[in-house]
Amino acid sequence: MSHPANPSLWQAAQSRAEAYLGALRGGFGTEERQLTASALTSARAQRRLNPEANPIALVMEALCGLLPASETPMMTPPMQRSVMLPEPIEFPVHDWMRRCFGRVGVR
Amino acid sequence: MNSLGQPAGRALGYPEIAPWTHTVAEDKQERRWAFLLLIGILTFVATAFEASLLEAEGWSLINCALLVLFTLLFTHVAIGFCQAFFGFLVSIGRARSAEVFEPVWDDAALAKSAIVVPIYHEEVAAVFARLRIMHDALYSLGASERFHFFVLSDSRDPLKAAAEEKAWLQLVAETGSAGRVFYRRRKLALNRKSGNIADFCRRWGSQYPYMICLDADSLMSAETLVTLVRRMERNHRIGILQTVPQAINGLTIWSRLQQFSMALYGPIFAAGANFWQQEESNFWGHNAIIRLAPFIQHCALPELPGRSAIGRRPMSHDFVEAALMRRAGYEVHLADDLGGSYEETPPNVSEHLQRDRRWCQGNLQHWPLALARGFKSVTRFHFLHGIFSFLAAPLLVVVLVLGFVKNLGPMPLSDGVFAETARAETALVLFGFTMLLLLLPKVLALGLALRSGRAEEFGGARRLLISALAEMICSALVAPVFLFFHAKFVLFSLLGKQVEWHAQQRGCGDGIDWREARRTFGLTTLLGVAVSAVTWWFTPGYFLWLLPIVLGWLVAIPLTAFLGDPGRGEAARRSGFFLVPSEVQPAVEVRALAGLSA
Repeated sequence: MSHPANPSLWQAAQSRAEAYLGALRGGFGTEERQLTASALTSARAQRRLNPEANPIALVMEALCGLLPASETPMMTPPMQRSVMLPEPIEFPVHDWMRRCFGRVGVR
Repeated sequence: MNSLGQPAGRALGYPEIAPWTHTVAEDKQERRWAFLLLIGILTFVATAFEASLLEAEGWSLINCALLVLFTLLFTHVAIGFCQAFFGFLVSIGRARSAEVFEPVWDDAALAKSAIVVPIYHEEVAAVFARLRIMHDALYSLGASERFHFFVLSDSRDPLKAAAEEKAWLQLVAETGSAGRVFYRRRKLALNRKSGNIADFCRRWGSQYPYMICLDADSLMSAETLVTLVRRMERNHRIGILQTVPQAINGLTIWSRLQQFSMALYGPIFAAGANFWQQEESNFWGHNAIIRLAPFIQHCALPELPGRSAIGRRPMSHDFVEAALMRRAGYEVHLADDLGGSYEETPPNVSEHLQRDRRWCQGNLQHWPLALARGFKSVTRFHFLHGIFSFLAAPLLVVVLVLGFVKNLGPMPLSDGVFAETARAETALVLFGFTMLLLLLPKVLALGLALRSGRAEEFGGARRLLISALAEMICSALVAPVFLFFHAKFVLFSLLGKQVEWHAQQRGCGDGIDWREARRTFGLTTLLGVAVSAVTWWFTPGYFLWLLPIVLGWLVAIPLTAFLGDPGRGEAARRSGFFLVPSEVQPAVEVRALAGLSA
């Protein structure tokens, strides 16, 4: 999906980064402001290389890159992917109706 | 000491955890036959009365159609009555309880479980306040290490997402729950809530034996969470164990009526459902524990066949998941004995109808599944009953229209209804019999509360009686509004009008004002005026029969505005009306929620 240079997206990205830092560190001061600015600068540079990327994702990725690993709590545990696929179900009445009336389409 | 070797939360006033598990009653078949037999007898008696009325006019096409529709509609009424009746018998101990209590105290570590909370543009502070309460309660019980919380966001608004992320970080920082409380936002919110849960299952489901599924407004006590896991551990046949949530935090008259009904009448309906459904109960989508391995393996939602105008992906996923779990051979139980499970209800009639519209489309989608191969008969009953709970409205409208057409004819019954004729007497007896079946469950529940000394939990006997009477009057007045809208929803569904996915309004906001009531219910009132005028002009006798319905339509605007007013709800609470046990004797988690909300 293309994300045009929409100022509101950059504003949203900045506000999200500020909210994240404020909650993480229990306040928002000069250091946090500088971190946000650095993340925004880095994200804008990245976006010039990849115009399709979402500014919010870029800013948050840049911010996480700037923060020491020990400081960021894990948002999700490591994934262990499972397959979850529907099992086949037979619809005999639908099949019969399709045969009779030819109107009820069944895959 | 609790089973985890840590001090139980006595300081917080926790009761002991009920140490037992679910088993299926040996006389399950007898219970089902008794249930069916009573429904059959009641329906037969009513249908015989109706047939005797229609027979006098001869078996025209209209009369035959009326008899068929009457039988269908009355069966629906009889099912509700029988469920409450058997629930009443169970509750007073005349019938054997469906449950067998067995001790489960042991030193085995509690299985690790995931508590998942799917959210979509919810009120962030309220969602995380509930999580905080449940986390703290589990911590005080020494069980917090065994439960991992997952906030599964589908919010699309970046500012909302930022607020959610901030609230998550705050919760983690303040409770020291890093690695136990997680937050995930989907980039692509496919298949709404069911897709959200399925995404969790695919990514992290294999790491947990159990998943406790909550709604954004759900709240559960630590004891209930632990007990659910214990019961699943005890009986490996259970795939889904559903609790019966109590409504809390009702601020408007409407939501207070809902929570009053659920607290007073709900237990006998739940006990009645458990009486005959046993291991073939249903899943309501939240406040339930699910065994993840069979859920992942067997309960992925299928695409429905045909060119359904309202979509081929099941919207009411819970019924389908319960059906698939049963098809896979696992049991689905209703833990109707278990307290400590809470939810909130829509604050006004308008919001309630919005929710009903989603449920209507979801339930109507189920009809191919009701006829699909491999499902249990009780599962088919759940599907059909769900469909009919909405389909009843347009069918009743058809009955009313046919009744009007008939009364234009040469032998109008209604002209003689209030005269001393044999047919009029039969009609009144039938009307009385129907009303008895509709109202008796409420009277039985009321009697049970008074007899078992629970009146104080509802504010005392006098206030309980007045509240119950007011609830019955309000329900009778609002029922025609629901009739009109449900009929409209079914029609819209058949025409293929899709339901938008809006965030559900919880709490009461500013209530519903007169302008919104006029906009939403203006057409209902106009319908009331038109039907009154036409029937009064052409069939004045029939107008009297229609009066209970037309009255609800005529007063729809002021009534819904009144019911949705938080000021009046607060006044009722202060006066001690529509009080419920969770307000009079609030559990620790409900008190904590009230404290955080304040």
